[in-house]
Amino acid sequence: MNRYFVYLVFLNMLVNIVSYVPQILIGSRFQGAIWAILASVPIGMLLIYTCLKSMSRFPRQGLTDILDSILPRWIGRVLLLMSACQFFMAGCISLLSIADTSIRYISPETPLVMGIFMFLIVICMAAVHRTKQVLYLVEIILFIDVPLILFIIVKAFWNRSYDWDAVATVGMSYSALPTWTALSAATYIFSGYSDLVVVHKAFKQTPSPKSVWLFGALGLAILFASFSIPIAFQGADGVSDYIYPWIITADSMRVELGIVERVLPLFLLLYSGISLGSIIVRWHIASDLLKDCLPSSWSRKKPLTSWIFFAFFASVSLVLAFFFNENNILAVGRVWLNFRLPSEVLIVALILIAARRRRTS
Amino acid sequence: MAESSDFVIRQLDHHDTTVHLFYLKSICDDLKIQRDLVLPLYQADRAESYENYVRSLINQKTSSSPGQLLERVIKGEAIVCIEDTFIANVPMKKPLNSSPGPAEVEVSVVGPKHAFSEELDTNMNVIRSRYTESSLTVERANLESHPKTEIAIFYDRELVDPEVLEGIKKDLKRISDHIVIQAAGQLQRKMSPARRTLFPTVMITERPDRVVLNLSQGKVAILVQGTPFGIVAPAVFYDFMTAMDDVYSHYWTSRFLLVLRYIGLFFNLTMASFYVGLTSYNPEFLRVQLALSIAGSRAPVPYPSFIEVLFMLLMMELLTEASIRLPRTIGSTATTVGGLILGTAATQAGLVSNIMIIIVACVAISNFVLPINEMMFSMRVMKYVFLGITTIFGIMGLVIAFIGLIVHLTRKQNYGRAYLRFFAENGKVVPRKEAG
Repeated sequence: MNRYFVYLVFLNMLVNIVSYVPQILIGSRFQGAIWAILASVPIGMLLIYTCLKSMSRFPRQGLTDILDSILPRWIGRVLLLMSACQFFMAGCISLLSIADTSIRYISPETPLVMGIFMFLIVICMAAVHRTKQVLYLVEIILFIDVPLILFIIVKAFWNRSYDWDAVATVGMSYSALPTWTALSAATYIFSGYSDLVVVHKAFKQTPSPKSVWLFGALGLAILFASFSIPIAFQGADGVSDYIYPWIITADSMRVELGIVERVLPLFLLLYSGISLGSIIVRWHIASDLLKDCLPSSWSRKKPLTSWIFFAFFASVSLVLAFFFNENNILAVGRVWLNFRLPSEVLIVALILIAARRRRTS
Repeated sequence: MAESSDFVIRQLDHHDTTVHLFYLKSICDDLKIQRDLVLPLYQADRAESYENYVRSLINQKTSSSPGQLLERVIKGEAIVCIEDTFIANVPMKKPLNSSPGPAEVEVSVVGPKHAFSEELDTNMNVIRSRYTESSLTVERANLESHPKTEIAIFYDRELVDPEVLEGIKKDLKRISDHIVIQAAGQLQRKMSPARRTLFPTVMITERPDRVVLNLSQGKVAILVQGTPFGIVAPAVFYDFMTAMDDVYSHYWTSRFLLVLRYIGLFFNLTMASFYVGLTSYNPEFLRVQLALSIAGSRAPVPYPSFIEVLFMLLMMELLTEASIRLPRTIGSTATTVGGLILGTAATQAGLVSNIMIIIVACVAISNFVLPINEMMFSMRVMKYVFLGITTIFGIMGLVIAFIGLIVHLTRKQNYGRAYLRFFAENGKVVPRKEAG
């Protein structure tokens, strides 16, 4: 089952582009983005390592069982509720972002709410099922999409418009210390491990912490690509003119010898697949955590329960889509990223304490 | 029973013994009865020795109740009554022409050539002689239909997953129908817990080698009396994408063919939808020359692309359906008239574009690449779903529908086994408990 953990982390790394990570990093490219990127790798690796090491003491248990072992029930429930909100918001922001971009650039005549509704049908249909089935789905989506995404990224580095000077110019401001927002955005790359809070229940064994080096290297590479490619294409100054720098960058590439000449549609279609996978995983986890918050008299097995949650998720997303424009969504994404890092550290610290207590007792 | 003209009651007298024979003339072998039942009576010196002789012929317990005896007669056994004290039933069934014919539905290039026959006994013989392991277990049963259909369940009791076997048996027991079940496909439909599913969850095959291969992978096979097709369960998505030749040919060749099939599947599902999406919604995706040449060939076409696609696809489906049911001799005429003449004329008349003809041909041919019939039919239907969604939502809808299809396939369960997962335990012995 270890490979599924790799998939989850990798999925999260890929999806950073639709979660406003490049926008935020580029926004602070002269104010410490370099350090944020460099610092995020050890922080991310440390979090992954600690989480895996501590989780291995709780085979086949999720966050609920771990929290219950050290905290009073009601504090545990509050934390679970907080965690569920985090996961829901993560999915919701990705959803709004990808739906907004893909509808704007691919089918501008479709109303946004209808486009989101289309996404929601598939997401809810998939996320309502068992964890294992969600993992199989993620595996297939990754295997279809990743080769082509790698192709686009490699092509970008190969491209004549890729301007190393612009990257070097941004690199010159290495002395600035990172802002909290930049650091939160950069560490987001590594936060795929936090899916373990629910997915761990479906794993026979906890994934071995040795793989953390792989994640470190992979995360740094993807972070570098997602930060530097827009800068190299649009220039160190011009890149901040765009709300979606990656979309513009993808549109400035072309496949000279392909059937589809422009990279933009290919990029957006692939990314809608990847983000669907990621949203499905997040919402699946959110609904599972919410189910744990229910009073114990309520049967977990009832399919109606999950459907009520998903109806709630879907309606919140639709309401947000109706009232927000891309600037609001970006602001929400920023706030959410700022909150994500401390709450993640808190959860990992609690898991660590629980693991220690279990060892001594 | 006596009203039936093929029911025979014969009275034989020898010395002072009277023997009655009851059988159905139509399904019993007259010569065999004469040789095995009548002649020995006249050669026997005493009634007891004939009785012992008859006893030696019986391979099943003698039934006593009249109802059971009647059932025996219907199944082709002769009832022997010696002086009203001794009753025995002896199998005397005349074998039908039951030699296996060549495989016609699933043709293999280098594999075994014969399919199953229509006779259950012959088929059991075929499987037994191919699967020479003592662990192969055969259970014969009757389906609760009217009239009852005989089936045989095969499995390797050392490899089979008991839960799967239990599930299949339960599904078979659940069947109670007032019409006769005569084909494997019909049985499959009755067995399946989801009555209206589009994707097959058991495989129907006419190839003994496929059945034996699947038995050795721990699956369960069901053969139905009167049809050369067997059911193999549980089947997952990958099983429907493999032909038996994949096992028989070289590694890289078979991999190549497998990839080819997936490409064919992808074309079949999405080609028509891509045409609609790219001409009506996003012509800018294509390179300019291609977009222009499509637009140029569509210039005389007076209606939107989806009507054009639907019209041509419908023509293609009609042709396929017509050529399946027609006798061979007329079939070729139909395809020539339909395919060649209609295609050319429709383009010249400006009803459809040239590129549309290419796409429809591609869709039709790529559909036939799928090796198993049921999957072929499912995908034939599926592509209209895609077409409908693309017509309404454009290319974005197509991508989401494609992911929706994957979602649907991954969430499908088949006797506790995931229908679609990336590295399925295909080709390996199915583990007792699903790993991981």
